[in-house]
Amino acid sequence: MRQFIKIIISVLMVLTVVSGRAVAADKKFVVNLDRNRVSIGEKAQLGLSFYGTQSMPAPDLGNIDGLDVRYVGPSTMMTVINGQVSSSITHMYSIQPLKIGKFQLGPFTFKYKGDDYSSNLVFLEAVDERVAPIAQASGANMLQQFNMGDRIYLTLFVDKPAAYANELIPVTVKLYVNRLNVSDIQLPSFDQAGFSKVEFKEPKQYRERVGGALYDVLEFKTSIFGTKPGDYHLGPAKIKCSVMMPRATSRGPMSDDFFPNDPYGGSMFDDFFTRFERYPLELKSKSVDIVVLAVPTEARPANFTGAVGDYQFIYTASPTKVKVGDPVTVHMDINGTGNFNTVIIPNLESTSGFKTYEPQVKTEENRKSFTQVLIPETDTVKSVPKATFTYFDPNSREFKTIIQGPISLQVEKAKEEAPSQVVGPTPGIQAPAPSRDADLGRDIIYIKESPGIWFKKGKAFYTTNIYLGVVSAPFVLLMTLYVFRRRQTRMQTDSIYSGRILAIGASKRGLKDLSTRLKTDDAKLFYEALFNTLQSYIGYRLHIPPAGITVNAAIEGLVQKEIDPAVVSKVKKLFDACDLTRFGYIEVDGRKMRDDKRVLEDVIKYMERKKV
Amino acid sequence: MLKNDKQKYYNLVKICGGLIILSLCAVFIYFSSEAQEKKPEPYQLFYTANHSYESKDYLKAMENYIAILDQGIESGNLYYNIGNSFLKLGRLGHAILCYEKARRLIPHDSDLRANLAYARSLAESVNDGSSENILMKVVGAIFGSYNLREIILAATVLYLILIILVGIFVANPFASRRLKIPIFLVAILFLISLLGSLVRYFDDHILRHGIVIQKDIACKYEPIDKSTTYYILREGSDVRILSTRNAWRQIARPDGKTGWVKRDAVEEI
Repeated sequence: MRQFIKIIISVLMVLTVVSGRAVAADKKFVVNLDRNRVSIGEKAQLGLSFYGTQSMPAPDLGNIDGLDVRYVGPSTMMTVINGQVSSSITHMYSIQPLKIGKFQLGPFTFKYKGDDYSSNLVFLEAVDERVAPIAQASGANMLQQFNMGDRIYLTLFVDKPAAYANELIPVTVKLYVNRLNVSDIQLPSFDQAGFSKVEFKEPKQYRERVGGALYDVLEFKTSIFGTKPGDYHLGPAKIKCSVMMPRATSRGPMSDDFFPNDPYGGSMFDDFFTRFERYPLELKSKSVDIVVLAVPTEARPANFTGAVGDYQFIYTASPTKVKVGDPVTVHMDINGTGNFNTVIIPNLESTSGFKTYEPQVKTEENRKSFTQVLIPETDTVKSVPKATFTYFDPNSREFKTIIQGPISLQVEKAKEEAPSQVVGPTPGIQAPAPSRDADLGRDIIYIKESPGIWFKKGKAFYTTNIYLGVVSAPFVLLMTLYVFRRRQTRMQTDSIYSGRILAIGASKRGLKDLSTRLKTDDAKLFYEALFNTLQSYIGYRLHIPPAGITVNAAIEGLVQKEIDPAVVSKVKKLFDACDLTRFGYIEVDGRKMRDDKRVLEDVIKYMERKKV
Repeated sequence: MLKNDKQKYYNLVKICGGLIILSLCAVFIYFSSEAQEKKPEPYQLFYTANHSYESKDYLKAMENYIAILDQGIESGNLYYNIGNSFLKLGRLGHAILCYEKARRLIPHDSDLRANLAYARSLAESVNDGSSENILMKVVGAIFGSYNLREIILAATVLYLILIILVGIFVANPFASRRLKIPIFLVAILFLISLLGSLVRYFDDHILRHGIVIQKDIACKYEPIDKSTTYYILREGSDVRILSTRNAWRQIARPDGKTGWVKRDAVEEI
């Protein structure tokens, strides 16, 4: 709420009471500088304000000799001057002098949407020395400087100098402004020790004549209540705002001597040489004494809960004809004037026979309503119980009690299953109680605006073959890798194993090679291959490097391994046949080659069976 | 010999790594293709239904929503909106059923949770999970905000990461020491997600949950009309469907009491 009021106030941003000379109200285009004297290297802000529009684009000022001009940005503003609302836009430029001298800025002329805008002119003086910044006048100094104590002030007023605890006390804070431009008005604040928190309503604006002078008044209203008895000081109320004032610096060639430092003196040159600045200001009112009395303890009813005011109590229930288990909604409205913060739900005499829920509370201005749902649990219930509301009336200074009801209620039995016999019900489990925090009056959350992610009905990714493949393939690969890695390790560490594996490999490759050679019918090549195969196989089997295998080494090794002498003899014959053929001593035919191949196969088979 | 073996070994590692990466890519492509399967017609129907809902023509809205389901597709938001339409029409049981279906797809949706709780409060059928065993409660506490698809996806990704880590562990003995802790952590996470997947799958698909969609249903001792009524089931109540016989369903209440109800009185989630 406070934010809202702030927004409203910001819209009313400048409350102006204009002097005999209007501040460019009739002008559409005003140019001003934030300072008129800068040293080389410093920057001044140039503002081009267009009144009556907020859509004016930034004008191009072009090149100004001796000045570096850069556009900063726009700012828009709503202004209230003498009750007239106007809008404006100000384009800000950064001006930096490049040389010493006095520069004239303006008058500028622009044309926009058929309207001609023509500005005043301003001067900027660039000096060599460092220019001290002009001290910002504080609010108090400024008031003193311009002798404006009676032109803008704040008052704090309470309707009752004495009130009971919890009794509402209306408070009014008024801001009086006489012919001044005021902006950025914030909500009032004041010391409130011993009182409830203050929330101001939307301010009212009107005019009031005080001591012969006409003031614009901004009135803020609120209500407070004392929380405990005692003597208190309320306030002072404070308001922060800004006052738009002509700048109290040199104003050009025709200044102070001829035109005293009265900002509203009125001079034909003022329009040209006066620039307005915003002065922050904090106004304070006088404080107010309030006595907070205790609510009498004599004759205080037992069910008094702290409600202080003048109230009416309306009590209704609907429907009044229900079945067991159907809800009956009871409305209890408290109307009137007083402090509703301390009004709680009226006391129901007895709710036995009813299931009850947390009441729903709604607070409006001068009204507080309670909605209570009662569910009759039995048909013996005949009425909604009477309700009692007790409050203290500060005007008559006595306690008052309003009793409403009972309201007659017709409860019927719930419908039963006629043809069937019901046995063994366990109601506690059959119908679990609703959660305790179930909110009455709540409703479903609205539908979704987008459908979200679509899925095929009844078809999830994890039931597809692709998924099974995706899941199983890495596992198979991992197992393969594991087996290969293990074999490789064994090959490196277990010589018997590696010899057997290598021998098998060599025999397979050799026999395949022999088959190929056999087809070419080249005896020399065939026996060459046979020799290599025999050499490799026996070498790996006997753990001797194949290159080191000779006939004698092979025979000796086989004998040591207790190989059948017949097989040893076959091996010897094969070696001999290889030597004789390779070196060209004999010629052999295909049949002999096939026989020798078969002998080799027998030898290998024997050796594999024997697991040498 | 050794050179040949080394070469083979490196080739095998490369192939395994490549296939695992391809598998990962396939998973994501599959999911993205599944998620992005957009057809204009369901969207059109959905927005038309929403418009009908806004115009308070809930029957018309529901017709359009259900027409989308008839196309063989579904979404959590769709079930949610159908549930809202049912609730507006005063059909609590159907509304709760649809919200429960939506919950299996978008369990994390707070609007859905609120509407389901509201519908259950109207039906006085609070499902506080008291009938669940400890394992289901633990899984519910960990994975309560995720649907089965998401849990399985998480488990799958963890599984593939685990395979990769173990593969590196096996292939490169020098890296094995550094990989022990990551493998242990990923394995733990994988086992948790796997357990969550299995429990959730069991709860969603093996245990057949149903919702009573008719008012005050008499639950009988036998699947015969004239049988004695055992207890009355409120609309929107949770039951487990044990079996189906002709026009009857055998159901179990959360307290374990079983009985027979008419088949059309209970609908499976």
